[in-house]
Amino acid sequence: MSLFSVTVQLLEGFRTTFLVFALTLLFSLPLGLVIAFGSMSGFRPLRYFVRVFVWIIRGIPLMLQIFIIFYVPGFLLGQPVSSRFGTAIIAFSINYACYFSEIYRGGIESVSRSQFEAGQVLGMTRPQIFFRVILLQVIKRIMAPMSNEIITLVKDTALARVIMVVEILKVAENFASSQALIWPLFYTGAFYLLFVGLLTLLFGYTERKLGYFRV
Amino acid sequence: MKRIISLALTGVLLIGMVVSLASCSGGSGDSKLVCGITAYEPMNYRDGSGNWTGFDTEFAALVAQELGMKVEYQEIEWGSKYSELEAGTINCIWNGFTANTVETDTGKSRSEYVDFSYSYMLNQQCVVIKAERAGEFASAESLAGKTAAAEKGSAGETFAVEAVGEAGAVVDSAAQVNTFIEVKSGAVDFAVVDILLAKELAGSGDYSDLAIAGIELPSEVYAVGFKKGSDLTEKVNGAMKTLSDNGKLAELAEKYGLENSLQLDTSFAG
Repeated sequence: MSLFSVTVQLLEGFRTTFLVFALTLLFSLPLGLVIAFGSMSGFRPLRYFVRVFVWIIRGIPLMLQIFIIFYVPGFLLGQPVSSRFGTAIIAFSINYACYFSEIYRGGIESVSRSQFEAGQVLGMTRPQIFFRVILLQVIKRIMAPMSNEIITLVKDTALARVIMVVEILKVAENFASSQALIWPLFYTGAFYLLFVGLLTLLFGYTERKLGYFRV
Repeated sequence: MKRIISLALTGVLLIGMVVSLASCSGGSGDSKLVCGITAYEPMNYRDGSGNWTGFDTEFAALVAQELGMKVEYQEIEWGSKYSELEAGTINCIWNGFTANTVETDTGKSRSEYVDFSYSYMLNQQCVVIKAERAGEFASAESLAGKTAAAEKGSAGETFAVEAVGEAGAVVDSAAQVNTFIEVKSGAVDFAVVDILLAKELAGSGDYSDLAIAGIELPSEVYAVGFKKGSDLTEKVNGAMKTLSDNGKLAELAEKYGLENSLQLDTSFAG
């Protein structure tokens, strides 16, 4: 097994890693906003319901959530889940949406009350105030904690292998089990480092672009 | 702006629902034989181009062909095998599955968890060590108080727990082959795995410094495990008998050098 052919096969595994990562972000970023609004809602039952939900999702291990979504339909409904990949995406999206929602909430609540009031005085509606005045400031303020979570997500994708979604770490383990090759396992670290490096550069760039918001 | 955002959100939620529905529907139909496996030479492993091959792989394919079913191989964590079977995400365990042993955690015989097919192969556990320490491991007594590695939920684990005794410890692995890294790195003193696997891998590639210790362990048999009460057991038994009678099974065993281990026992029932 040459370095080249190992790299090619690991890249194949990294494609799954990347897909889990990208699809999770695609679903959890907007879902997190919905949850954030729910947890700030003036309607009490909704607010309590959402906060209990966030408590549960943040309170139990992601690995357990993956197991629950994967096994429970088969146990209780006799309707086995057919897509392991789909299960992973659902579990990751819900989990990360809850973490994101708290970051969003912190960001939104950190914007000075007087800006809402100024908007109201000018006769803007609540959605207008949110999207035209508040949102971009929130994005600027939450960039650092969000980049933390997003980088964590890159590495959390490795959890998908507990239900045998064959991502890069699993591919590397397969080398050890079927070809008696151990070094690919450690070589995977380079793939993660490179990808997180690119993300870090991207976050730095975005933060600079949002720099004009400094008050 | 508001409309665009709410449309986008609705869209995302809809896509989410479609994905979740798609992943719930379907399931493993009756016409599919979904075999739960782990990578394990020479029973199930990947060839150069990444396709599953091996004795059990081909045997399952032959049986499925005989029954007019489609065969699928689903890699699993060995420790999750009963959960996968119960949830219906696989419908048989066909992976050098030792039938006449007990589960270490519960002390219950495996036949209390699954229905077994006819047994079809003889196997033995063996002790894998670093070749340079061969002198230390001459008898079963020498294992007491040592640290061992074994696959979680395997027959080897059951033996290892007994062999190391109170003073020793057993480290669980997700698959048998993972124990080789444990031994090589020196994290454990020895591993207990199936002898068919050890003969393929110990001493080759990165595992060239590993060897099988000269300790004789009790023998056992392989069979296929099905969900309790499944009608697949009878069907697969019938197909196994046919393949044994027409010589195809013996041919297959020869291909993998297993002709001395092959032994279809139609009187076996867990």
